[in-house]
Amino acid sequence: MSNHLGAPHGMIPNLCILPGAFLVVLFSVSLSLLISLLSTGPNESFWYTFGLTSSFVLWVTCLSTLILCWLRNRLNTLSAPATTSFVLLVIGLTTVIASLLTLRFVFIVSLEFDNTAQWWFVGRNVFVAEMVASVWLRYLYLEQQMQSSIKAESEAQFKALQAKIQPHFFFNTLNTIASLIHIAPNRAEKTIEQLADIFRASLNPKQQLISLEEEVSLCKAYLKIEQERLGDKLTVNWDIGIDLEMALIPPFTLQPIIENAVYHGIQQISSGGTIFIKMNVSDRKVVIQVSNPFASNTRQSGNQMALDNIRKRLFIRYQQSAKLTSRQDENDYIVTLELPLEKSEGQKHEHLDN
Amino acid sequence: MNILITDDEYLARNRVQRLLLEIDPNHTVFEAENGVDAIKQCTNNNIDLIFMDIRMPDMDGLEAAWHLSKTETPPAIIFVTAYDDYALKAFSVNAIDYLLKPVKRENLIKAIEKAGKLNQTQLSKLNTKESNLGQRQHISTKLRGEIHLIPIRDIYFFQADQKYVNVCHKNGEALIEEPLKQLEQEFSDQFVRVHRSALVNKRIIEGLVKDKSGQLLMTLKETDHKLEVSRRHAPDIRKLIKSL
Repeated sequence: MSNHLGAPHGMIPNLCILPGAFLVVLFSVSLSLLISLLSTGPNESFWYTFGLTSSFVLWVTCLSTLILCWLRNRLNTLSAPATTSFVLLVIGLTTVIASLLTLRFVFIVSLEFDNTAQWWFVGRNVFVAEMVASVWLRYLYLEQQMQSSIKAESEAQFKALQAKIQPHFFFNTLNTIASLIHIAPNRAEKTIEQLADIFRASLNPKQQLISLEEEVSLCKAYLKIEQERLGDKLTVNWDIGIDLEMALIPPFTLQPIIENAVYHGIQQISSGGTIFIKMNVSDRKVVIQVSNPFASNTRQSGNQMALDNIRKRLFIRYQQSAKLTSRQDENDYIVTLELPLEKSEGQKHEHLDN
Repeated sequence: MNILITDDEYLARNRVQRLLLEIDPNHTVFEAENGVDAIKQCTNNNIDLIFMDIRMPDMDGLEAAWHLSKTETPPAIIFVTAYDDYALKAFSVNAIDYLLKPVKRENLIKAIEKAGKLNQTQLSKLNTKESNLGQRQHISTKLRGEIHLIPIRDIYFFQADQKYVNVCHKNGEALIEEPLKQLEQEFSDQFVRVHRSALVNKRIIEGLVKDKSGQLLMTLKETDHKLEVSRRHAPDIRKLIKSL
């Protein structure tokens, strides 16, 4: 079940597809076995009782299952008490119908309104069915509680992992602006505008996917600021072989990779260097590659932290279908990001329901 | 006062310089782009106070401070950083203070006053604190009172010789006073012990030969020096050569 960050998880599972349906049958047979064992005396035929009981129980469970499948989507929008009452009602009704049909066609008696034995038969069956159904509903309720707490947990985890503006970037930018105000007010103004854009984007955690276009313009704003700070040390080469408006990406996925390339790569080289960013689509995947030269003699390491963070976020969202790898050759550090191609037209969240 | 601003960003240097000259136009302000540059400036000019950025290419501020602290008349150092994750480490390398970017004018005034009050003995005392700043990128030696820097990657081997350790590197040899044991610990990923008295840069290990007397010797790639390999270290060295 893919309920990570997905639609609300209802109480009633889908029992009309294979694992569910099989479990219903298995449960019915087990219950019948139990009832038969308890009710068969030494001189009675066990198999006769078992056959009769299991056809009765299967009839009740299958009919109820069909009704619940049919009404499932609507039921799952109701509150837990309402759903419980409704399910109990459905099971009660199917049991009454099954009991009456059994009296009429198996025991071949005519139904009489004032026959206490017939009332007792129907009443006992309904009572047992409701008892069993209550246990089942209790189980479903607990499971739903657990699922929603898991979901809340993974959402909280996702939020915690969500990229924040790095404090060193923020303060360095303020320092750049403080300096520019005196020597180039126009550039100071521009830098403030770009910082505002980045800040606004980072404050909008609700959107789980944005267009690649938006992410790229965020990266460009970020790079403009860094170019102001680092001067001509930093150059960037974009090679975009993809329709940016079409593809979707979780916000702040590419930006921290580029920030890493600046902070751990270019900035640590006295003569600076160029960051190469290449994007294309291959095999229904968006492939983004960021490569940067690095100083072989740097003391600081720790660029893995940002990458691990992105990796965790990608896993929560895409499980195995997204990949983030990094390698380094003699001169360059290369990060490759692979995401399933998601079209941005309309159905932004369709993949969540599988 | 002779003040040196060390920062790899032009705009950052520019602003501190402007503020310093606004505070007192009589200050003489020098600039450096990284740690190596800063040490050079300190040798050439009589620097009293350094405003030192921490993250810089080639040599960061912490290492530069470490090398400078080994001089006879160390300048006062005030670290300037954008974010205070380095601050604790900075104090272990005898900084008298640290400032956060963007630097405030009043903090700058306070820092200069603080630096002015410290006399040379106090500054030297600060230096006796042993720091652990991780792995350096350079070894520094003093020659006629000047600091000379040898990049670690240029060093072929260290050889202990009674009181001193001889550093054999690309451009010659130098003597330092650091114990071999400490060097071995600090550079354990790049250097390997081949003898009680020698550490070799793994990068330039070529192979092993035996001389006439049966003594095992190590040949090196970029130099004709041959180093004795002790029997105790031979098995590890053979393993290392195989894995290279």
